[in-house]
Formats: sequence, C-alpha cells, structure tokens
Amino acid sequence: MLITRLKLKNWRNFKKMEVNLRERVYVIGPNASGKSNLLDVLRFLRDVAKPEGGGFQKAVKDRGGITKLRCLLARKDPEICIEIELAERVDTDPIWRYTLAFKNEGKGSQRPLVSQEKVEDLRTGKVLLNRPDNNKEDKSDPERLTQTHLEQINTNREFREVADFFASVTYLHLVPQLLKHAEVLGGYRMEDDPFGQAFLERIAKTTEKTRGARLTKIEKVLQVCVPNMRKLEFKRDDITNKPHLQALYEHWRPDAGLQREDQFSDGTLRLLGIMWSLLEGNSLLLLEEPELSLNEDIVRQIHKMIWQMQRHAKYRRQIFITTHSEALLQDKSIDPREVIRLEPTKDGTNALESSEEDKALIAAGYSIAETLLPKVKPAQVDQLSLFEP
Amino acid sequence: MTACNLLVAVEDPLSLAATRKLIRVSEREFVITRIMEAGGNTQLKANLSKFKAASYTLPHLVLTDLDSYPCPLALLENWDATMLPPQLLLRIAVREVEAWLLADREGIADFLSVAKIKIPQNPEAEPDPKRTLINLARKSRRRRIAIELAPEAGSSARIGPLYNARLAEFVENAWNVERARTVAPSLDRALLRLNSFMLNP
Repeated sequence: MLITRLKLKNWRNFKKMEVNLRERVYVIGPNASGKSNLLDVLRFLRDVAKPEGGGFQKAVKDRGGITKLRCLLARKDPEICIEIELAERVDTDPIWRYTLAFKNEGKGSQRPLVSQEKVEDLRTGKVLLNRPDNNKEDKSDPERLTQTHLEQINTNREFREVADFFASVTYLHLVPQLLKHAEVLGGYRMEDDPFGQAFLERIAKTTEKTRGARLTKIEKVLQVCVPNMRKLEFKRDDITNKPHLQALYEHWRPDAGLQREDQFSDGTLRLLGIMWSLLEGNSLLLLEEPELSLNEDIVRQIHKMIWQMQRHAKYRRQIFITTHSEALLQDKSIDPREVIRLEPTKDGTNALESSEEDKALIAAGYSIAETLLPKVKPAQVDQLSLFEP
Repeated sequence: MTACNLLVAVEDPLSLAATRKLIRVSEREFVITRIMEAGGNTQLKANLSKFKAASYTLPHLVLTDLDSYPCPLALLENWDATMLPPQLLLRIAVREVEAWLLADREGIADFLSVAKIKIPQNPEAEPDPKRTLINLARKSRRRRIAIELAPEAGSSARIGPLYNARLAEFVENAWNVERARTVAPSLDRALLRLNSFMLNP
C-alpha cells in the first residue's frame, strides 16, 4: 500500500496543504521550510498506531503538546487535521481514507482530544467510523476522546490494514558515527532507532537466508559506488558475539583486506542503511538527506539505486526523501510528479506539485535540479557573502 | 501592456546581475521567473538545444561572454545559433560582461576608487576585461577593494573572494547603463534587441 494523497490543516508550519504522492516522493525546499515537519506527520501517525508504547496522547506529548504542533498562524480555527488516502498501487484509485483531527480540551489539564476520527472504505463507499458525531458512547463518555480507534486493536478491527500500515512506517536518518562508536557512546537509544544505532541488531534479527539474499542484492548495487568492495557479509564476533558487517577491500596487494563496519566510510554505511531499509519492510520509508557524506558522483546514482532496490524488494516500499542535493536531482529519470516543493510564505508553508510549466520545461530537456531547485533558493543567498560583521 | 515572463540563462552571478539591470532599465515589463546559472559559456553552448525547445514554453533570454571567439558571428556559427526561435534571445557581451561594467567609466572609477583616466577608453577592445578590472582593483586607493576583488598575491585563483558579490552590488546600485552603452556597442545592441523582444508574437 502507499499514500497517494496527503492533506493537512494547521500542522506545524503548514496552515493548509494538499498534495498527491507517488511511490517516490522527493521533498525539496529551503532550510527551515518544513521538510522534516512534513515527514513528521507520518512519524506521528506511526507513533499513534504502533502497538508498543504508542498512542495518541503519547505521540502528542512527545512532540511537546498541541501548542508546539499547531501552526502558529492558526487563529480562528485551532484544530489540527490530517487526512490521508491510501491506494493498493500507484496510479490506482485509493481504497482507504483516514482522517484525524484534534485540539486542546479547552479547560482543565488541556489534554489533547480527538475532534474527528473518520475511516472510509473507498471501495464500498462505506464510512466505517465517524466519531464523535455518530457515536453515542463518545458523547456519553468524553474520556474516550483522549484516544483514537486507530491505536486500539478492539476498535480498529475493520481497518486493521490501515493501522498496520501506519504502525510500520520507518524513519531513517542514519548517523554513521553513532553506529561506529556505539560501544563508546553507551547503550542509550531512542525509541524506534531513527539514527540507525541498532542497525546491526536489526540485521542480526533476520533469518540467515533472507539476510544473505539481501546482502547479495545490496553488494551488487553498492559495486557502482564502492567498486573495490567484495563479499559483504554478516558475522558475529567470536568472543563478544556482537553482530558485525564485514567486507573485503581489494587493493594493490594480492590479499585483500578484511574490514568491519567501523572502518567503512560514512557514505558506505549510510547507503547500506538506506538499501537495507528499502528491502526490509512493506510500509512507507522516510529518509532524510541521503546525500550526506557522499561524493557527488555517487549522489547522482541515488535515484537509480532506490529504483533498483524498490524493484528487487519483496514488497515495494513507498519512500519519502528530503534533499537539498543538486546532483541527486540532476537525474533525468526522476518524474516531476515525484517532487514536492515547499515554499515558505508569510501565511505558512505551501507544498506544491510540479506545475504544467515545470513539466513542459523538463520535457524540453531541463532536469529537476535546473527547473525546481532555483525556486527553493533563498533570494538573498547571493548576498550572503556580503554580511558586515 | 502585460508583463512577459522570462527564463534567464547566464554564466555566473555577475552576468545575472547585469541581466537583471538591463531588464530594469529596458522600456519593457519583463519578469524573470526562472534562472539558470550554467557556470560557463561551454555549458551554455551545451544547453542551447534545450533552450530552443523550452523557449516555446517560456521565452528565454541568454547572455554569454564572447571570450576567445574572434567575433560574435563566429560564436553563433560555432554554437549553431544563427537561426534561433523568436522566443529565444541570445546576446553576447564583447568580450566579457566586465567590459560592459568598465564602459561606465565614471561609475566604475568611483566604485574602484581609481582615477577615471586609468579606465580604458574602448572596453570592448580589451582582450581580457576581467583581468583589466582586477588589475584596476589592485591599484585602488581603498585597500578593501583590492583584497575583496583581487586574488591574493601568489594565488593562481582567477578572482578574489567577494568579486562577484561586490560587483553585483555595483551593477545593481551604481552602474549607469545609459552611459555605458555609448562606448560598448554590444551592450547598446543588447538593449535595443531587448526592447523589441517578444513584441510581435
């Protein structure tokens, strides 16, 4: 399944926005335009839906409460609303629509309360859930509005598919140093491991057969970027039993050197993390700036790598990617419909799909980078060098 | 008359600043909606077929330096640009956009803090106007101009760290195009052509 449409109201710096989405979504925009905030909507739904340690109250609290979540420009209408449509495959009609709206209680301890939760099965046109309006129990017991039906297995039975999809959304912003120096840094890890500290354990948990198959696929694609790397393998340390990745690096000496992940380059590790994640799950994958610490020539290959991995994976994951990289967006095979451009205005950030003019210029031979990136460049950046201290 | 949207394709930030200024002083209402900074004139040449095709969607204004081509016609022939669609205006600065800046002799002398007499009389005849300009900056009465515009002694860098930024600032605020066009014929032609560009669709 994939998200084909996302509509937001008063979410962080988006006062109002609505976009159509495809299997790959490149989110571009100037610094502080809200790229990470956009990804955070989906992490939020994941946090609401996840069976362990999740839930609506916690998801809001972890983000500093409603006042931190709500768009500063929201005046008359204090409600935050998220609406999502899911389809089985790209270019097919959506099958689910899930809407979640919430606001502060307005009295007492100011708990966040659900002001609308609606689930529609678009195949049958049936509304499976619409609360609190059509729900007597909600009216008689307002406590119930502190929770969503999405987070409860008793109440999400009819739309379990949707709950599972949200619960298995993955966010990855692998920080190679955290992985390399894991032992020195100690065991503290954030929930859901957004920075890839537990990446090796995740690999360790897969069955040997799956793991081998995935590493072979990854090695093949990695060859483009790290041509002298061979035999990428998973291995446990003989003494400590800790999981490790190792590979042979061929060099001018006849016997190639064996290296462990802590000797891999930062870029190699990030790529490994991205590719593994693409092969691993079946839900949405959120990636922040995959171009970091990579050579430009390799960044140019990222789109192709993602495309190949999506093809080779058992379940094709939808992927959202935030990026600033010109080299990445120079790839002429990127469909302009895959790009969402964020444009900050005085009235909140707008999320824009490619315009007809963008598409016509791209058809004439311009790349996404040439067509869309100059638009996200802050107007004063040329003058940046002229600051007078 | 309604405004006409334009894509501007140039080599570098300084050419962009000059193009913006030309549009501002022109008799027409053009709005730059898209910018392409190609990085150099070989890249502009490589992109020309794209410009031709895309100009049907959005009119293109391309400004390039003549550099080492013997004359503008030689450049056009080499670029296969003798026949261009009417929505694509290609203008050539002889030999570099810096010559257009030097052509406002009073303005540039004042900006660089050098005597007007040191500014060349015929800037389009300068073989390397960028170097001429940098050498003038080195002789500036104000040390800051010299260190910002010229590369450090012994460095083989072509320009100083704030070269583009400072000159762009000059172009925007002080460069007198009317004065400059009297001694820079390629600038004069560029303005004339810009004034009639996209008039008869």
